[in-house]
Amino acid sequence: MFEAPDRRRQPDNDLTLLQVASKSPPPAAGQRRPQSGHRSRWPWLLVVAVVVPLLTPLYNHIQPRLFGLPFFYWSQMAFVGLAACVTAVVYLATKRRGS
Amino acid sequence: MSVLAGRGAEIATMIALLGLVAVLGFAAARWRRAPSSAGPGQWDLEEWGLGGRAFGGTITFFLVGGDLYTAYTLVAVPALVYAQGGLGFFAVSYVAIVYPLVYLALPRLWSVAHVHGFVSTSEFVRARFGSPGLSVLVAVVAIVGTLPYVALQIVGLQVVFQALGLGGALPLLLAFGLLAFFTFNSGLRAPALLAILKDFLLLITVLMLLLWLGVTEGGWGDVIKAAGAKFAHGSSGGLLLAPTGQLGYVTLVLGSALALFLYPHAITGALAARNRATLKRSMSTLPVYSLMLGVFALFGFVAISAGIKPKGGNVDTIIPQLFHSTLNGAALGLAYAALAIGALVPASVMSIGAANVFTRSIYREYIRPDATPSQEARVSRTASLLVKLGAIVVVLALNLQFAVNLQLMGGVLILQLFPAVALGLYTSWFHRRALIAGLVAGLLSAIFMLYQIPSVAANGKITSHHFGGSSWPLAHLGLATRFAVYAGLAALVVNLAVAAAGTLVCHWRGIASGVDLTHPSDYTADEGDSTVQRMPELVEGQRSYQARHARLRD
Repeated sequence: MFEAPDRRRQPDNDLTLLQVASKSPPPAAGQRRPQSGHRSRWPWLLVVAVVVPLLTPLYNHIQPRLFGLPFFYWSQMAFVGLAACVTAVVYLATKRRGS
Repeated sequence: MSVLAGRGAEIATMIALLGLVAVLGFAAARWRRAPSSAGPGQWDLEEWGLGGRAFGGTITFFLVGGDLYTAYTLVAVPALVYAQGGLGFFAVSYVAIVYPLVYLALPRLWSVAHVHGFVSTSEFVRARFGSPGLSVLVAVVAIVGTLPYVALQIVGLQVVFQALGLGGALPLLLAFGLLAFFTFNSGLRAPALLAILKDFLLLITVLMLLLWLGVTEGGWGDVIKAAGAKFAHGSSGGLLLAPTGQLGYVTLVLGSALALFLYPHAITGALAARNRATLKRSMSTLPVYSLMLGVFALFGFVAISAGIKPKGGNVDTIIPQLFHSTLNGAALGLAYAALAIGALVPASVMSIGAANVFTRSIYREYIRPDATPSQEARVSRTASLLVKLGAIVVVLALNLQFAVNLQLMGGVLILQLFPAVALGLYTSWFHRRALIAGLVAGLLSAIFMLYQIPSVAANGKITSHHFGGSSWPLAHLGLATRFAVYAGLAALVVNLAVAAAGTLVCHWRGIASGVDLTHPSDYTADEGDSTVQRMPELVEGQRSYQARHARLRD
């Protein structure tokens, strides 16, 4: 599932041909990849995954338990899952935009 | 040899697996290299030190995972949970937030490093702020901060060998020779390949322990009960954080997470990825390791309920002892080998990362500016040996009451690179002189705060008055409070304040800023763009590339 990233490279850059054609190492500003005008808002989701584990009063409790583990422990393990989901969602949502 | 009687199977397994490490480590020199390229004697720095910058998703996953989740993970975190309870779980929250935190920044660093051929953050700082002085300062801090981390891996090895009954310096020196050999010979490819072996062994170990836990103990409920009873009678720690401990916990989590990807070895693993998408996908798959770390941390409680006592007062021995009381023969040997290889892999990447920093930012900057790529590789390989020797000196010179505190000290220093490196990826607003002033102020205040922190043994006795940890009581500010903060984050506040104020002063006085050699589009360039020189296919072909900032230098 990880391999061959080039095969599924998205057609995100219609200036690629132009860039390959230009051989000068520091290309002029016009040949640079254009900065996308509308920035995606998806990356803001990352903030949630960073901030929630920093709010200790939220999870510094024994109850509710899961498999006998106090909430303090299993909730922080769950934050790991949250981080994985959020980064995966942001990756999938933004990869077509070439950001 | 009477001590070793009856331990034949475990020692044989250990030796066989370390033998496998030697073979794989040696063979890795030719792994994933184009047939046309010369032998291992003919490296250039990006081949030796970054594996040709051509690792795909799977290898990046194993390499970065094998690199970040070190013997520290496996020995010191459970030891901290054993001794302090909930506080030790900071490691889990810290590796939960680190990936979303660096998800946007790391691809920017990857891009600018590929466009310009950087192998380290200090080179990036050099190009971004036009300041060789700042760059060399960043390089020195990166190297000095990494040394204790390498040392920590040696401590991990030491604990494993002692648990096997192989005390003394000889086994340690042999393992060290093995590490030096495969790193010198094969560069980053060796730890990348060995990381796969390491994770395989580690997974088996965790599953074996969980199986044992399910079969013989009454599950987590009883384990937690036993741990709760211990903390109820103990002088320190508890299942939950004390009300005054929460600020320290949060600042420790945040500071550690901010520092992680400022370490040269973390950067090395990330820069070796072949493109941005590989890196971003890794950020969403690497949390799998964090879950494993969480399970390992809980083994600290299992050790309590199994009645394990630290051997010789060293809490770090509890995980090897837990292995010893739950596993036998070959299974035990395998678990020990997983720990040992878990120390060798990161130690290798760390020594490579630090050596790359030295080569590009000190050797080529100040000693031989016209160094050829193969000279760079030669210097880097030698420097990686010296880094390991330096780490041994650190092991011998410092008090190792808590191995984890040693790493925390390195982290406190490394974190001070945040303004120049991490903020530098987004803005060149900061003035180079202000950044230098901020970095120096941050380092000095960090060292001063660490100096004020005593080290406290498990029984509440003060064993040393200075450099005993990284939790700095706010009472030092004259506040009547029992709250403490992570010294690294407090020093970073000083650092940022000085850098920001200094920048305003420099702009006001009209002091010229350094020349920024990077272009905004450099930070979003990807594999296949014409500005990126380091496409894998190019690497395997020609090898006469020089970093652009070196060519533009007047």
